[in-house]
Amino acid sequence: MISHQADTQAHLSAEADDRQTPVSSAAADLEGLNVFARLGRFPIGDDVFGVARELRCLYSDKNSPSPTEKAALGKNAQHTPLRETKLVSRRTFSEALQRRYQEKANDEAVSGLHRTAPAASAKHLMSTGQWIVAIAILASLLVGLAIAPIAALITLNAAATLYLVGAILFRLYLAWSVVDHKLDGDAPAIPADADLPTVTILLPLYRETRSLPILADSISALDYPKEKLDIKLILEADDRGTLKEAERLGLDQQFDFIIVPPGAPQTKPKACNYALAFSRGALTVIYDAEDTPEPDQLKKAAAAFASGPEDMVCVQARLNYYNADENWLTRLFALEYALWFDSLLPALHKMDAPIPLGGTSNIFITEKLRELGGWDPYNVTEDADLGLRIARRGFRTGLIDSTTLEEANCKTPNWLRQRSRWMKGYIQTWFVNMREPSAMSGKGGLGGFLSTHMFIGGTVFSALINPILWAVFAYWLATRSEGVNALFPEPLMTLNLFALLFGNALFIYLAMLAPLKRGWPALSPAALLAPIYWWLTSIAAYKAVWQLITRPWFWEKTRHGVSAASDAKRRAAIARVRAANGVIKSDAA
Amino acid sequence: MTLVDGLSWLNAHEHILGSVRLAGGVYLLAYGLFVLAQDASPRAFVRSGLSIAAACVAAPIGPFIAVATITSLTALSWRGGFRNLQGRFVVLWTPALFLFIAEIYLRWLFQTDAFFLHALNASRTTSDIPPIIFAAAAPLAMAPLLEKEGLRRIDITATALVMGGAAAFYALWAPASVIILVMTSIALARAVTSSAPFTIASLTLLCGAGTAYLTTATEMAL
Repeated sequence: MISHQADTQAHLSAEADDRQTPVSSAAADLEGLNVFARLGRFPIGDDVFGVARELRCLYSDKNSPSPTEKAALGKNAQHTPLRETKLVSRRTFSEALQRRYQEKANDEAVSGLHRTAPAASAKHLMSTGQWIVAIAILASLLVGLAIAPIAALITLNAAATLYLVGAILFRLYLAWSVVDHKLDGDAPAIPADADLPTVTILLPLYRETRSLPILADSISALDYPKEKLDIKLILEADDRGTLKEAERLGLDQQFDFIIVPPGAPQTKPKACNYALAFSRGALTVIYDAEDTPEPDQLKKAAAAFASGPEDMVCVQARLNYYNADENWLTRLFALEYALWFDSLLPALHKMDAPIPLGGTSNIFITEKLRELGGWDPYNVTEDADLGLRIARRGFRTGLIDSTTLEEANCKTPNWLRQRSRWMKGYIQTWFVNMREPSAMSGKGGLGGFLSTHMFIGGTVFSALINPILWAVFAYWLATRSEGVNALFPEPLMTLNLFALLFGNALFIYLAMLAPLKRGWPALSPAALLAPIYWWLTSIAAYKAVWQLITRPWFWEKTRHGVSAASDAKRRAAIARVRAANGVIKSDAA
Repeated sequence: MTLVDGLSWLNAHEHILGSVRLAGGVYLLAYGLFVLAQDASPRAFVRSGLSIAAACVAAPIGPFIAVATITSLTALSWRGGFRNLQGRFVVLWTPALFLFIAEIYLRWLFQTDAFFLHALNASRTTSDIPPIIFAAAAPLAMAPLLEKEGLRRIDITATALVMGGAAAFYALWAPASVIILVMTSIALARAVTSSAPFTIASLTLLCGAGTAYLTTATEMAL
């Protein structure tokens, strides 16, 4: 904060010096140069003099700046800051900007949220109050088990059963509430190109040489005025491979390369925060390495903001997979996404409940995103966490009728890595939000409160207790043990039967119905394999708990570009991207 | 009153409720098929599937034959590469499948035959003829969709006719299930090993598969 004030004062004082000289004519000379209208959150000013003073360089996206523009810079220039200023390439300019503000941006990215709103940060998993409650619950349980073990176990069983029955009924309610919801509903009119806002596209990548061509191709295919796109390719300092691939594809012609300084935590949210500092767009969107958004997605987002309520600060597009039909795992993954994005999320939206964001294709009002503190760099599901923070602060998230297709994990170990990270992040998010439970509901009242528990804490809880319940059930089936019978007195027995027979059937059937909305009925039969998928989820949940204890901020990397379906896409994409960026064919090898 | 008590009460009054159940079953099945005949949308499949499952509770034999028909058509769709159609058929029979699993489990758990499909064992009588007729009409009800997905009208009609005949035959004479099972095995073997398109004969035989499987398996399990 002190440093920020100092920067501002220095800038104001320099501006005062400039006022002593007639600068208006020089400013007019430089009008054609692409001086960024707004250089992130730094006190650098919106004018060429501010930029020149700070960076000693300017950037033009014209092939050949006019003689007047050239003459306005360099040793013959009339004004001091401009005499020492060079006209440089886009990339050199971007590097100069990053060099100048690296330290400050990195500090903000890592510590900004924790400094301004420590209760919203997962840097420390549990607050003092949460420790006290947890210890009290654990102590009560141990005492109960020592004094009256059967009663204690029945109490535990009752708690788990009531939760499961509640989850079943709640999901049934959500599914029912959107039974008439159509994916291609009425959409607001898209503004004229001249009225569209500038959009910053954040592309955080780490070791993504295989996915980069597809991503670059998809971004190039976006139907949005090119001059209103500020595309940031965000790379980690130790990831030379992806940087080289980006250079090979000629991406520096259209993208800014943002190099995130090394240092813990090395997470996607930290990288995004860092890049956010350099964002120029009125809107900011994130796409992952394997994303292919529908071309008109940004226009639909702009339209949604133009016609939406004032408190809407974010819109989420739907996600699904382009390789959904690759194998049983991708089919189940696609069913899960179809159920979540096409049915449950619209239901949550309808009831004004907090929307846990997906990791990609969420579009923010940049100013509000900064106001919210950006992403939590210590949370490994920073997306879900930010969605809940939006609701806690009294804002709203909207949905748009547009889909981003991604590459589904087609290999089980890779899927487990990704899912265990999600589970770990959900635990972090649940604890962070439970520091102020009364604010969890957003504008959604009781429904919002329940949904947050159900889809954040409940997702992990279900995955953790499922194997235990199935093991008890299998043991009882094999032995008809009286000991187990004692844990299921009559009312509890009926509820358990309901959960076992109706609950499992419902969850399978909802997954089976999910792809019908999208017109993908061929995926429906895969839902019969959902119980196997649930077991994998449970394995991931236990791994997540272990990692939360041993490596809480560790970002377990998901490998992309491993699908057979992505090979063909990649080949076609490489050719298109290189041609678009004027990279000659001879160096393609 | 527990779940078992309630179902036992229904069981004890079966003679009074029988006609109501039968009428309800026929209505639900007819409704399910009517929905499909009018509309081949995903939502129609869901409504139809749930109606058929409900009909299975009310008057099990006929609806189960409908499920069997649909199961056979699922196999056909799979074999013929009509994967979208296959998906929709699975949506149709899954609710009945869940009921079937629940029935088996609850009967075993409580050592009683008083659950949803109680009439399955008892009602192999001429009173099942009306639902059987409706069941046989299932392929005809779905004809517009089936044709759109590539099945020939003559195959669909043959399925309906043979299904109705086989089901009625079964309802009146129990050993038919064994014959159907054997014929189905031959048909399935042909279907899997042959690369030739399905003939009406193999289609006909396949239509008995679900019936034989469900009824024989139920009787063996119980």
